[in-house]
Amino acid sequence: MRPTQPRFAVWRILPFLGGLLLALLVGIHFGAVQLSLSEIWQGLTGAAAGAQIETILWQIRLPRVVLAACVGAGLAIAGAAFQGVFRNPLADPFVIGASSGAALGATLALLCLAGSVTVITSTGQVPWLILAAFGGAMLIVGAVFVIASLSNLGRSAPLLTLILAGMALSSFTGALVSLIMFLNHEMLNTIFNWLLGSFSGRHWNEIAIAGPVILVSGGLIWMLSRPLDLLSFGDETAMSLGLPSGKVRLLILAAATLCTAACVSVSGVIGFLGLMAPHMTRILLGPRHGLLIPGSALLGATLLVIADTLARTVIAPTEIPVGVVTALMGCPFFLFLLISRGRQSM
Amino acid sequence: MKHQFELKLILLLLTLAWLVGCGTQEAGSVASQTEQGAQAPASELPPASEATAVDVVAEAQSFPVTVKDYQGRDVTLAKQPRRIISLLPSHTETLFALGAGEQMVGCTSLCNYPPETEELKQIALANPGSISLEALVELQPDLIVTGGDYHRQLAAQLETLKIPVLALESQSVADIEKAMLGIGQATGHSRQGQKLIARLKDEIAGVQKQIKPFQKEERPKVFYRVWDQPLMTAGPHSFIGELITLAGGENVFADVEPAYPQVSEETLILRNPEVIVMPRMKEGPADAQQVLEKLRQRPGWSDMAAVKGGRVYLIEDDVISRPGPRVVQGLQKLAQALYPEAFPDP
Repeated sequence: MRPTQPRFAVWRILPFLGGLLLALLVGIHFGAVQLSLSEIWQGLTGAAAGAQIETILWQIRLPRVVLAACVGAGLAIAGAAFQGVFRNPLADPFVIGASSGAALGATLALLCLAGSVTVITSTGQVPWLILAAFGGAMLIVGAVFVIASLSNLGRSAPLLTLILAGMALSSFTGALVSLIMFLNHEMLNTIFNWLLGSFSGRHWNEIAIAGPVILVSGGLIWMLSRPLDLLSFGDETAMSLGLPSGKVRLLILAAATLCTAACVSVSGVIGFLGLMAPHMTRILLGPRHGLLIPGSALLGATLLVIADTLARTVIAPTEIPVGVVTALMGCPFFLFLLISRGRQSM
Repeated sequence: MKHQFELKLILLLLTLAWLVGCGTQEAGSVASQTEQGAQAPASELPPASEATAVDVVAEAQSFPVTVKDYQGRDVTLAKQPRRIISLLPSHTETLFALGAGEQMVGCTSLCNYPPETEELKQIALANPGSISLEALVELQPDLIVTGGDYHRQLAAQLETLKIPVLALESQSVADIEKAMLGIGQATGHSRQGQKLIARLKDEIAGVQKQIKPFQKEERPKVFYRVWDQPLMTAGPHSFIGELITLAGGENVFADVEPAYPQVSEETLILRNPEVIVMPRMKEGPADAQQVLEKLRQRPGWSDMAAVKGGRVYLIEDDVISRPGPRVVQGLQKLAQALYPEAFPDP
């Protein structure tokens, strides 16, 4: 790893910030309905640009773009944290069952709410779907932790047990979701949409629920970036430097899980992003978490805003699930980075 | 995927083995039945009213018949089928409307009309993959009526088992007419089939005549909401899209390609429909007023012409989305929603 001068390091994150701002602008500009820059400006400053334009801008377009940014940042932070804690480049926000748990919770909620699908998340209503997804994620992750702590596999194994238990329970819940899909043919589209991730029909309500959770848990992870640096050297090193590694690790895992659950509960399962965004940032900014975490958050947000813009516009007025776009567009870019600057990656 | 295939293969082999086991016996009985049929067709008639009985006798003598399926392939039936299974609710309704209900032994668990379907063996149906071949074979059908592409795989399996299959699409009014014709011929009710088609045409023309005086240059803009999350509508190439046009409405998403696409909320708001129609699910809210209240709370929807004007209508799921003989009921409800003034007494 390359030592970075803290004072100059901060400046290296500015391009990331610029990229996000640009992506936000692009996300607001393009859509099924094309808004001109002057219309956006008038709409944002409150100068009347037509009631419909204002409705679309404020109630549909902006919340979607902002939510995509929040979820992108959240998934990327969680990914960076999981990769650091597990010391495994393949770890992603879904590794310990958060996504499949959320999908199961959401599916069950959709099943129970089948008739009242109209306005699952209108303002002032209990957001059952979001709560169920969140509950499902926490339940499955909780089960994974219980299983991991029940098994006594020696000192260095718990991390591996966590990953294995997470994978096993993920497969199990995945099978349950498939079964529900199979038996409820009419709900196939809704559940499928959920499994591929989508921001269709999401409003300020979702931001109000998930935003604070992502902010707090993400902020906590950032504050713990020094311990994360130490943990990624291995337990022995961390302990010899006086770090209560068990407790810190649990705290980071809990925060990252919470962050993931909040993201998944409002957007569905968006793959690729949480795995790749931290790696891209690591290639560009180096492995130190103090810089890696905010960098990942900005890059994750940028990528997801762009992905959602594409999902909304490519075959407008028809929409495609954003998870499909993240995988399709992100993978080649990631492989390119890997090939061109791969030796610094992990 | 591979597992599923293997499972089906095993299933197929088992059924084949079973068939070979009773093959000799079957062949004998079929032969004797055919002989009997030629000698004294009247003895085989099901208990029926005089009129249909006469009809059946008359047409039974015209067997064997050759009927064209949806791909234009010939399906030949040596004698009038007595043990029919229908795998599509719309085809079940057509069979009963033709007077072939008494020749039926089975239908799907989704077939709920007419009430006589309750007396038939119900084949559990969630989706085409879940249909049990064994359950079908057990009923010893001499004709299985299936949907076209939807049941393509199943039809191929049935063909290897030497069970006659009549595959007919059911996606448009033209398909309904073709199904009425084909099923009529195949079951010995061609004359009823022709009558039914004539009546269908008459009734559709009747509805259109009723709304004609109230139609203006500008047709009412309709949004048909199939599903809420994701927001899905019926495109112009779907059966419901066709009904909207027949009922004198203009689909706000007339420019989409897929039959039931996921559409963007922005576009919907910009296109500002005057009427919103949705299917009424059995578990869903029964009252359009209730749905309207919920839509009002939804960000960006309250300014929509349809929501403002209170023109939100629920149409019973079975009649609007089932392309069968009851299509006229769905069409009438739709026309009523679009031109309430043409129907003074609802």
